[in-house]
Amino acid sequence: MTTTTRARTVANPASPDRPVAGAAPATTRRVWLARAASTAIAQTDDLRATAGPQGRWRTLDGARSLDGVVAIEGGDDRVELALHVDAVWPPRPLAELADEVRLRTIGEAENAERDGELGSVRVFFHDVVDPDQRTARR
Amino acid sequence: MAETQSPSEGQSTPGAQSSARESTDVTRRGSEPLASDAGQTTIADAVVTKVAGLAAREVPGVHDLGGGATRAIGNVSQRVGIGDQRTQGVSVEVGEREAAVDLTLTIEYGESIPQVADAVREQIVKRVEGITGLSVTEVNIAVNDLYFPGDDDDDQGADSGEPRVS
Repeated sequence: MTTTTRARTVANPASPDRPVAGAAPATTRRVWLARAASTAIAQTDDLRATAGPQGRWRTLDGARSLDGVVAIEGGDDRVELALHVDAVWPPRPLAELADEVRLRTIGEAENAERDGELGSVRVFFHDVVDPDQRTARR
Repeated sequence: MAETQSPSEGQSTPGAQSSARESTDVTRRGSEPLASDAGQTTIADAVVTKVAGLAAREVPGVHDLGGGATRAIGNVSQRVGIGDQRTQGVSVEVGEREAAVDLTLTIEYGESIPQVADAVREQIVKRVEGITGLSVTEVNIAVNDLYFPGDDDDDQGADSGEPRVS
């Protein structure tokens, strides 16, 4: 399913509704929700998205790559999201971090009244990195 | 030296989660999913290894992790960008809810080895349980070297060229 309309404007400047240079003009709901997840990861302290070996965990959004987010159309007419992240040392409890980023993703979808399109949000922790690696490898 | 805290229990396979969608590459290569009301969270074994290694290094008296050969190989592999010093000398077995940790240490000369080992064990249990939610059943520690403060200066002293007698 493809949608070209946006439910409403969200005030958050980091929202996935913000126009992105290089993004395709028509956005599938899969990419829209991947953007929401990417925004949620970026907003969560102590988390860093990882695209993994050979960049296998990412979603292409026009010319942009949403690293660490894999979005798949599920069989139940919803989009399943997998968030691939590293924790920054010393991390908070990982379950707490996972819930935080998951709830942020759901919140982004709710703000745009698209939560009905969102399936499960799975969080995969792959590594723990030093704070000085946070920007170096992002 | 190796000390065992308690026997390991319940090592389960990653396949304990049953749905087909959960059988991703990540799960197969040794990650463990944690149950959560809002969704599933998976923690790779590498995360547990890294947490244990970093926790051990936080303890005063620990000079380095790994044996001499491990450190030498680790230094080389780190220089070429394929190794990570923070995981050398650490191995973990991770089950669905529990983890066991084995590590090799170099301790600074003059420190009490039993006290440092106990402190390392305590710190690893605290960090791994607090961060990952896994219960740590064992922390086996092997101390295989002592570090003397002058060790790093040996080569410089030998090459200084200054006369040893006047």
